[in-house]
Amino acid sequence: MKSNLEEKFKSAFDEFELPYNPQAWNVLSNKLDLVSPVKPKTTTRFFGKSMLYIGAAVVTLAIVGAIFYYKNSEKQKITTQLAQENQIVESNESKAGSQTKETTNITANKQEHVASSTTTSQTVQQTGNKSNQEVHKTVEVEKEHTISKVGTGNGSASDSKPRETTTVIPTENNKPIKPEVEQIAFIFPELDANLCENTIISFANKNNTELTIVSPSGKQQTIQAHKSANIHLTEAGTYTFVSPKTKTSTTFIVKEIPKVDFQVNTESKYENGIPTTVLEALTNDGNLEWTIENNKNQVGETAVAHFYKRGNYNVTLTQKNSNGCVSSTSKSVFIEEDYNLMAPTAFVPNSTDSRKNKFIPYALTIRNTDFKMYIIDPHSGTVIFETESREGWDGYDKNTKQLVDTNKSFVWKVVLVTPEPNEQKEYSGVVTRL
Amino acid sequence: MDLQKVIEGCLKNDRRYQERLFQLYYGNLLVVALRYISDRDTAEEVLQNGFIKIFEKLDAYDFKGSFDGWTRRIVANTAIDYIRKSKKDPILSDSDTDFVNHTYDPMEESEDLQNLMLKGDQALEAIQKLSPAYRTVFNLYVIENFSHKEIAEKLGISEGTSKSNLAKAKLNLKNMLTQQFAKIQK
Repeated sequence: MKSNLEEKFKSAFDEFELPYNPQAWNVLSNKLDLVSPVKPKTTTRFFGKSMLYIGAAVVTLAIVGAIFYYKNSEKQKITTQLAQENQIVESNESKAGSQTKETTNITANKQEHVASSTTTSQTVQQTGNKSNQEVHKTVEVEKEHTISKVGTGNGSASDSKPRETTTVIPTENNKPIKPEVEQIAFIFPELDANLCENTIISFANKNNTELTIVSPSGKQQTIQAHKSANIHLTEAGTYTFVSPKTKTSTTFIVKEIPKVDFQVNTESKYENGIPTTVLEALTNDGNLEWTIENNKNQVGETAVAHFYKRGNYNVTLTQKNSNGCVSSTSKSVFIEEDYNLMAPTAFVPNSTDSRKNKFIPYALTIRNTDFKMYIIDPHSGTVIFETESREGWDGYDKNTKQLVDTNKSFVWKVVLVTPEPNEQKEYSGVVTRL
Repeated sequence: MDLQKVIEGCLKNDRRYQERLFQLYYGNLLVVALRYISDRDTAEEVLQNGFIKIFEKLDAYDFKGSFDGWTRRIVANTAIDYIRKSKKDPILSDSDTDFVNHTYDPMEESEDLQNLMLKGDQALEAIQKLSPAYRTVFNLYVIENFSHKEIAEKLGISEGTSKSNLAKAKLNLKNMLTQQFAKIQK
């Protein structure tokens, strides 16, 4: 619901408009002539009328000339000249072909010095050989007839409005050249689809002129004509393609990518006897996916990883936000020591403390896997004890039925029946009987 | 001359009809341009370009929706495009610091300004005093009826920024109008 203030502004503009400025149309009309010239059809129609008028003028002049010829021999030269001039005008009009009404009207309304005005160069050259008097006279006659005919014709409203424009340019064939309006061409798949920050797009400038790309912060990059360039969209916001030559432009929006970060929780080292690293996302703007050592298997704000060997492990968190944009961040997680079933390095068979008087790697007492453990005399290489029980080794040699000597070290070896994914099957170590 | 006939004439690229359409909509659409761009000459230029687009896109108009609204949207979009191109990221960032110690209270406005009759020229003058970032969001949300989500997509900003800019724009306008109201009261 709009607030009071909003309503006041909205209603203030309901009927509000500024007074019309006729000059503004002239400017727009000129612009339209450049980008959207009037169709030749209109010109042809007008030219047809013009020819009719010119033809009538010629006939009239011919009659006048004939009268002058018979009545005044002194004016015969002028009459002849008139006829020649009219031929010139006719010839020019014919050659002008589709020359516009604007140009013709300008000719008609110009004062006497038409020969030096905007009519074709042929007129200028031919009339340039005549005396000033002759030229003036000829033009006046032409002018009078032309104006008279136009004034009594049924020309359209715009026909009566001569414009001093140069939008139609006669060519060698006397056909108007349509001013070229360059179209910006670029290879840009799916302009309306999601374009996200920090991506690289290849653009091809197929134009004959350079193409400029302006970033939201105003940074510019130019692609030369008929060249391609890889553009790194480093900013979110509106990018603009600009054709400096034609001043045309188009825009596209690059959407913001999510900010993504996570931390490694070092509080918990083992869970259920298995080495565990907890990963926690620090941002949550959409879908989260974890990639742990190339394994994409977890989604959500937290993930757990099991690293069994000392070393660095690569963890990547990928986030997709509501814009559909994706970004990710990677961190290296360092594990300080090898996992070895959390085995103690010594035990005391004679102790009354049940936690100390037997040897069993601690992880085996809580892990959900069967195993087989061997105790080996390192000197003889013989197995002096083996078990599948979580009770462990009590210190007795199964061969001699005697407790092993104190302060003597033995090798233990454990084979897991069902190791965890990515976990080795066998572990070993040394334990000393105290 | 009815509008449909004028439009049909424009579709034929007939200057007489184009001029007529220009006459009919100039005053209204110039206000639209000036709501986004405070400089009169620039606004006129934007309006010219907007009209060129209107003429170019007329064949897409199906006579079903409001033609007024259709033309206003084109001119507004042209103005926004101009703003994007002409200045360094004016829509995304704003350096106004006038509002640091203010909070916007919509209840307060109704008490202060409920008796103020806002005229078009006053409204335009006030909007033009806003920074481009606030002005653009205010126009799009309040006058053009875009949602914050749509504005965010249109300007490439977050919804939060859009909301924030709107609130600041309204606060600024309210202060301006309050001062104006006080002058009138005196």
